[in-house]
Amino acid sequence: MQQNNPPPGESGLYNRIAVLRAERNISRQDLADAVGVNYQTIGFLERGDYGPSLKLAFQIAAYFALPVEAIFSTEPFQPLSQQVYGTAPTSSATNQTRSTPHES
Amino acid sequence: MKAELNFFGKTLDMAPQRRRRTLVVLIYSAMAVLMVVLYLLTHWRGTGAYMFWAAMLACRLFLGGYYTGGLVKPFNNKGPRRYDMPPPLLLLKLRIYQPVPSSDDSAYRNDERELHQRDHAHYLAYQAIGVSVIIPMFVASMRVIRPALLAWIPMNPDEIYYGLLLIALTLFLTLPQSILLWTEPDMETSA
Repeated sequence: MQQNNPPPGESGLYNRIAVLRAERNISRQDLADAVGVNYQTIGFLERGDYGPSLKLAFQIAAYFALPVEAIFSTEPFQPLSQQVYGTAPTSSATNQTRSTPHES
Repeated sequence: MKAELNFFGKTLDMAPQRRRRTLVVLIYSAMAVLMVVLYLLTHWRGTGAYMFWAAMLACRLFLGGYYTGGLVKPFNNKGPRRYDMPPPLLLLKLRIYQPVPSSDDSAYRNDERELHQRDHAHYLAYQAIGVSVIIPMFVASMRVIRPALLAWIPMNPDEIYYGLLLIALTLFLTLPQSILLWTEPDMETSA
């Protein structure tokens, strides 16, 4: 689990901003413009090098239409598959997923 | 902080930290050379104020922190003032910087991380400037208590005080911006 959640930077906060951005195909600049910060700040947030103010955290949560605790946490996030299905990804499943394109 | 420096119409990419550090070293080297030259010319009599103008020019062109030029956004977190009439310098075409764009002033506003960085840089600079002010006081006290200790310096005490105060003034004007440029890591593209 720790491998899926690299330790946060100076802020001590884990976050899912990068995952949510990639999932919704949003650029750093788009997110930065929406919440009124510099796009560099989004990079610092994603790496955990900067802990946002409460206001900024709520703005980001509102932008993604998610609760704050779904985006920021002081504890490492569980993988989404584990949260949704209650099972952790196994190494065999991972290998199977990787081998699927070759089989087809 | 801006990733690009607009210098007389040319755009310089200052996103890499190494370039910004090189710029800071060059600026302080130039200031040191200027200070030595002014001392050799006039012992800073009547020319010490040039250090102030040199520091302001460095801020305007490279460092920022005040007004609109330079890499660091204005410390006061406000956009530039605008006038209905162009200032006389623009009419005379004597400007040395790009005219103020008429767009919104969000490019001059610091966000919360930049404000935090700004305050931290001033905290660090405050200590260095404090030391640079304490040194002249120490020198002044040594001049009274142990004048023989200062005999090896080939300058009279008043020149020492003045030189140290010029250094303090230069640091006061430029050090916070320099700390910001020095410590900010490599800047990323907006994609």
